[in-house]
Amino acid sequence: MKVRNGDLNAFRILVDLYKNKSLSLAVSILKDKHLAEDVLQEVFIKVYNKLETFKFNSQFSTWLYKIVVNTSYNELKKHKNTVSIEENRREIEFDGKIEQGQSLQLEEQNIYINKAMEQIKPDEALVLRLFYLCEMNLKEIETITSFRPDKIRQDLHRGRKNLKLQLVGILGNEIHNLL
Amino acid sequence: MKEEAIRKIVQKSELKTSFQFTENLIQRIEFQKSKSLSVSFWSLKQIIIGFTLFVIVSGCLLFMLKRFTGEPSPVIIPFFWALFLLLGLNHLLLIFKNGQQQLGIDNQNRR
Repeated sequence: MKVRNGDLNAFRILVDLYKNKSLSLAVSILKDKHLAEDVLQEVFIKVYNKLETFKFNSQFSTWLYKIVVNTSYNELKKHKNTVSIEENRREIEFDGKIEQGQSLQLEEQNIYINKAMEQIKPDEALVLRLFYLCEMNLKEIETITSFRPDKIRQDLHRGRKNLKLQLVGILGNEIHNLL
Repeated sequence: MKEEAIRKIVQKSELKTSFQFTENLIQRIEFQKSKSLSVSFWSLKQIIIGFTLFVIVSGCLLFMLKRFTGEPSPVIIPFFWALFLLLGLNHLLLIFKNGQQQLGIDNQNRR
């Protein structure tokens, strides 16, 4: 209620709560962390201005993620017409396969997993993150992405398969280090 | 790979925003709020209503004055009064808006 009345301190708490998951979703689509952060700034400004219109009969996270996804896809379309994001994307520090028996720190694991996530299709990465990271059910994913239910199931299936393939390519037999 | 393993892996893929993300965002919202508080110009509808009302009121006043003094005065005078008044107010608003914009630029530069 405080947030709806324009209380910036309350809004700050809300931003801190959702910013990382929202960023991960935007990166799934845009494949560029810096561009995704810019998009996210616009998203949160939009959300702040539209909070009065938010109907509390739906979940806030679903509403927010829908805005994140729509804005990211719009940005992707804009950038496809100008600069290729593939060319522009910042490479995550990665120096090939890791050595056998080397244990991975959490931060390293994050880098390798994101490297793999970068290689899979935006729709697949998005659906994977919505399902496993944001813990959305299929109905909520349908609301957020406007994808058909069969496409969501297909993207989930392909996403799992491709993520595994990419991880095996990067980590080899050391993939179990991630678990 | 099992479902639970995939879940764990994807959960570890969560990215973190830059350190200043929230601070920058709040500053942008504050700046936007201060901008929206500045003067906005009247719409055409408001100008027409204001002009009509002013013409009617000043016409009535002129009519009353004529009754008191007994001297005739042209009917066009209230229209000129209304026009000059609105132009004057518009000019004042313009000066105020320019001042506000300058203030906004200064605030942004300071940040």
